[in-house]
Amino acid sequence: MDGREVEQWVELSLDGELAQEEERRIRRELAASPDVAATFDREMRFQSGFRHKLKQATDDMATPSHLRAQVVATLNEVHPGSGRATSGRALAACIALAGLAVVSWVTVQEEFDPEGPVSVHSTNPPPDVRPRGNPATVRSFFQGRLGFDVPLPTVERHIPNLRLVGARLAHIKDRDTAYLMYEKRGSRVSVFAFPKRVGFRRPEHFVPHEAGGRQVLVGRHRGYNVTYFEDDGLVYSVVGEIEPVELKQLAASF
Amino acid sequence: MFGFQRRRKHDASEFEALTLEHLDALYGAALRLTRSPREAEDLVQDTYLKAFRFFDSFERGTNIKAWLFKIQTNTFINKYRRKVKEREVAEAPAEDVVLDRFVSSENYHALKAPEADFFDRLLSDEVIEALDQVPVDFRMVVILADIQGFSYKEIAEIVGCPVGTVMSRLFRGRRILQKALYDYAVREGVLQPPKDDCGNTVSLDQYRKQKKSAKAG
Repeated sequence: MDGREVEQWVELSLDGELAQEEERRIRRELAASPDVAATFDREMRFQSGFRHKLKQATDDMATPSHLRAQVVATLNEVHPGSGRATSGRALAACIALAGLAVVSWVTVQEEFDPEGPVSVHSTNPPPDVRPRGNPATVRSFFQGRLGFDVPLPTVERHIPNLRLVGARLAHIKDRDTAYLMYEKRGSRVSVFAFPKRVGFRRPEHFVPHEAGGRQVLVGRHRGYNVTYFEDDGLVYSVVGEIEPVELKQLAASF
Repeated sequence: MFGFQRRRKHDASEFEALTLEHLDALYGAALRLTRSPREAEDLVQDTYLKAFRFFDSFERGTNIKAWLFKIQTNTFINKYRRKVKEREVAEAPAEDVVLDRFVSSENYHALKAPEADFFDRLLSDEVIEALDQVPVDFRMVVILADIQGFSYKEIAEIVGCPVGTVMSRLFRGRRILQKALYDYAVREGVLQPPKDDCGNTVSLDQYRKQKKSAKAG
């Protein structure tokens, strides 16, 4: 059994494609040669690690929450007699409601524009307040200045080396915005929070992820990593030179 | 006609009950095939639409997940893949120069060294990025086997090619992906570049000699 054969047997074994008799024969051959057995084990560890990582990476991808509803709606359109719409009148009502929902979706929703947060982040403005070891200073700074409470994420527990260095007020698309400034190894990471007016559509180049039980959109704009998510009536956007996975962790820490 | 209507009505609820549980799997695969969230959504919608239209032809009691994936894969090949025109990659000669160089290279042995359990140190996004770079015919079978857990036979039925072709594409697809991940890990400093030591390879002659002496003993 040479190296290539070992690889193939390991793949067949991990893929569950070996018959019992073949498994037994391979075990016998491995028992007769410790060198081959060591190579086999190493290959097995390597291929298992590879598959595990691949599965884990793709499991992180969340299905958009609206897709299921769209699929069901499409099925009902194709076959009006199905499921919930059982009479002509109910069917008409369903179609009208579905049409209204689609129109509302198109007209009320606007596409999230990463340019707003990125343009503020890229100017690197100074903070109006510094925490000086007490994050409550930042929280109280926003009280009375903004019409909403600004929760501070517990990021330190999730992302090492990320620390709150200050905050200021900002305006993004005419919205009063809380601007939290973090620093990681000398690079600024900006967190913006403003009240949600309408839902946002996802920009095409943003990929949905799951973080902390909510959908987080991750993408890049003008060379910056940008994350966007909604929580408790607020829209959050994070911009900065940290890894996308850390952006997600940050999002999950609110 | 009325009989047809009644049957379809029953089919609709049965269809939803049987198929919607596979929505996440279909979307995940669609996203990796199209590499675009919007196209993935369209592909899944098309898949459900077609599946519903042809639900009468689904043989009850057989694997509905495989049936749905077959529809999705065909839809992708017929509609979406025309845009990417990657077919020629699948028809490349079996002796893929790039791949063979990788398989026989010291790099490949180095990345299997015990200290190089580097998959744990890679981020999911990096793995996704590498997977997206794998040519689509290879990526397709890797997705079906390693992410969706289909057997070789099921994959052969889904993609419409012989089991031997599935095995070959799977082997090559995994190697291409592993090489991409390895290159990335070296580039980003997760792994040290390989030294001269090629690791312990097993020589066929050596193995045969050992076997012979074991028999003689």
